[in-house]
Parts: sequence; C-alpha cells; structure tokens
Amino acid sequence: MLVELQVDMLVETLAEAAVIFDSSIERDFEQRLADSSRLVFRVAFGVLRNAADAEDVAQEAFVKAYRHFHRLREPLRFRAWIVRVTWRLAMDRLRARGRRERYELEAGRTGPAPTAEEVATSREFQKHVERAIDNLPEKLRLTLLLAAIEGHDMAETAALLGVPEGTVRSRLHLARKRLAKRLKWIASGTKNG
Amino acid sequence: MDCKRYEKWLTNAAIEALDPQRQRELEAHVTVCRKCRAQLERERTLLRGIDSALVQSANVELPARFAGRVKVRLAEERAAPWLPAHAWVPVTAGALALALLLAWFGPHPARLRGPASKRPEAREMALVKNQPPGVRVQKSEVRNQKSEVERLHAGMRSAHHGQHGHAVPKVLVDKNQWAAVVQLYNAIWSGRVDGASLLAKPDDDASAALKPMEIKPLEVTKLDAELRPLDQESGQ
Repeated sequence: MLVELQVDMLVETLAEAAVIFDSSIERDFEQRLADSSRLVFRVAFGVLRNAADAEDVAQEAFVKAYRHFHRLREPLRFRAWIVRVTWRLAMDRLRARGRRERYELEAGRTGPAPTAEEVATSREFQKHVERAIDNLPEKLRLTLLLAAIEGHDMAETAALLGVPEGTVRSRLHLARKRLAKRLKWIASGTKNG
Repeated sequence: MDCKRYEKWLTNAAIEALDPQRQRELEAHVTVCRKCRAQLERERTLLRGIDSALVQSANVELPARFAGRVKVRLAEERAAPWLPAHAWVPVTAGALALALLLAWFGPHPARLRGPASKRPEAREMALVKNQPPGVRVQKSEVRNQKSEVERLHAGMRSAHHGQHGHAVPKVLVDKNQWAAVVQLYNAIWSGRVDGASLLAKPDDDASAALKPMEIKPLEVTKLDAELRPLDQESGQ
C-alpha cells in the first residue's frame, strides 16, 4: 500500500513537471497562481467547509482566470477578480449541493457547567460560530472572511472587495454584532452566566 | 440603578463600537454594578471566542501541490478541442454556406445589385448624357404604350435622384414618334446602342459657334438687253 502511494505521488509529480509555461504571459500567470492559491482556497473553504469541494472550486477559478488573463495581468486586479469569482463559484456549488448542516448540542452533559472561556475555546463553539457565519448576508460574510485571513489588514480587504475602508469597518462591526447576538445564548448557559 | 438602560450598550461596548460619551457612562456604571460588569465581561469573552473561531476557520492550510494540479488541469484544457464533437456539424455547414455565398457574389458584386438594365445609375447616365437638346417626351399622349410608360417612369423616378443628386429633365415627344423614342430609349438602356455616338461632337458645335457667317452677294439675273426702258415706249 505504501509503495503504491509513493508511485502515485511520483506519477503525479512527473505529470505536473511536464507542464511548462513557456511565454511571458504564462510565466506571469504562474506567478499569480503562486501568490493567490492560498487566498483562493481559503475563500472557497470559507463557504464550503469541505477541502475536496474547496479545491475543486479553487481550480475552476484559476482556469477561468487563465482564460481572461489578458485583462488581469495587474496583480491587485487579478486578486480582486479571482476572489469575486471564487466566491460566486463556491456559493453556486453550495446551492447545488443543497446540504443543510444540522448541528446539535451534545446531549446528556454531566458535571459542572463550563466557564465562558471553556465554552469559547471548545470545538462545539467553533461549529456554532461557523454555522452563524454561514447564515450572515453574503456581503458581511465575505468581508468577515477576508478580514480574518492572516496578513489582511483593512486596506487589503477594502482593495479586494473594491469598497472604501470605512465600508469594511462598518460591515465588520455589523457582522460581529449579529454573531454576538446569535451566540449569546451559549454564554448564558455557562458557570459565570 | 437603571441597568436596563446599560444592557443595550453591552454588545456595542464589547465590539468597541460604542460612542465615547456612552462608553464613559457605561464604564462609570460597571464600576459600581457587579451584575453589569459580569455581563460586559461575558460579552467580551464571547467576542474573543468568535474572533478566534473566525481566524481558525479562515486560515486553513492549502493542500499540497495544489498549484501543480492547477497547471495539469490547464494543460488538459488547452489540449481539449475548443468545440465539442456534436457542434462541428452545424459549424461546418454554416462555414460552407458562407463560403458559397462569397464565391458567388465575391467576384461579381453587381449580381447583388440586379441586371444592368434595371440599375438606376445606368439609366440616369443614359438620360443625362444622351438626351438631345430640344426633345420633349410626354407620357400622357401614348395609350398603347402604357407598360412601357410605367417602366420608363419608374426608371426616370430612380434616375431622378441620380448620381450627382440633381434632377433629370422630363422629355416630351410627339405622339406619332412615341414608339420610336421608347425603342431608342430601351436600346440605349440595354447598351445595344451607344447613346453618345448619336450626339454631335461638342468640338464641332463649339467651332461652329465661333465660325463667322459667310454672306454671299445676291445674284440677280440680268434683264434682256432688247427690252426697252419704260419711258422710251411712251414716245417721248
């Protein structure tokens, strides 16, 4: 089994190496691919919460970007464009999937009530937050996601969205307020609640 | 203490979106109110938890060799035919139809404009160039040539707004000469007769106009010498 896996990985690596970008436009594209892969994958994952689906959507976004690359050679323009396209592709995939994740609290909890800190750091809480984020309006959700990606400050988020920094700030305030309101019931069940 | 008033401000205070005046009021209140202080602390803990969960959710690691797989997919895309197999039939049929149209009309653009005899500019040129001065054609005087008149009128209407945009004068002929004129007109239109050759050369006209008139003296026949003058017959 281990040997088979190694052979598969070798074949895949060789196939990838055989693809050569041999013109300046294609070298530019390869650079954009290297710079933006993480961002694109994280945007897709932020919607789909599934690595396989997120990778498929991310690949599709780059294929679309390649077709339109003659208009997108400037780096910031490329990043803003591919974020928008990835978001739309991911939302379309989510709607087509039609899956509604239902999360239920663990039943039959015993022992002392947890503290607010314990709740806020639990895996359960993580899922509650993700569910609450998924129910936000699209504009707030995308703004929250982009602002939370490491390395993104207010200016970078505003540039990717194509809106002023003030708009980003107000969207973030509104999004966090809605999340707090939605999740307040969790904090009320804690030891110090 | 009026805690209800301050409860509404707690969430905004936790996300640091409370205006400065209210922020000061709330801070003063929580100093003395343990219940509101605990509530504010819970709100802040909740927001910290939300931010932490958000960052954790947003910063997943990129799968290994992701860029390589994208390049392979792009190479497959480039190698694939740009049209699916089932689309080739209508596309080929359309291209053939276009090629046939171009082959038919390309070298002979006049085909698109119709036969020479019906082209308005040919008729207009024949009328303008070849019309002898002083000839007038009146259509209303000919009854048995009605179809010819209608065709002529249609031609003259189209020729009326001819190449240079100016009006072509109407031609009037005597009714006995109508048939002959129509035949001549058709012959000129169809190109069987060169209308220009029917006209006098302009050079001859110009030179004739400039030539001085030759006036010859009047020749008077001499009277018979034997005839006597009138006053000799009277005997004087």
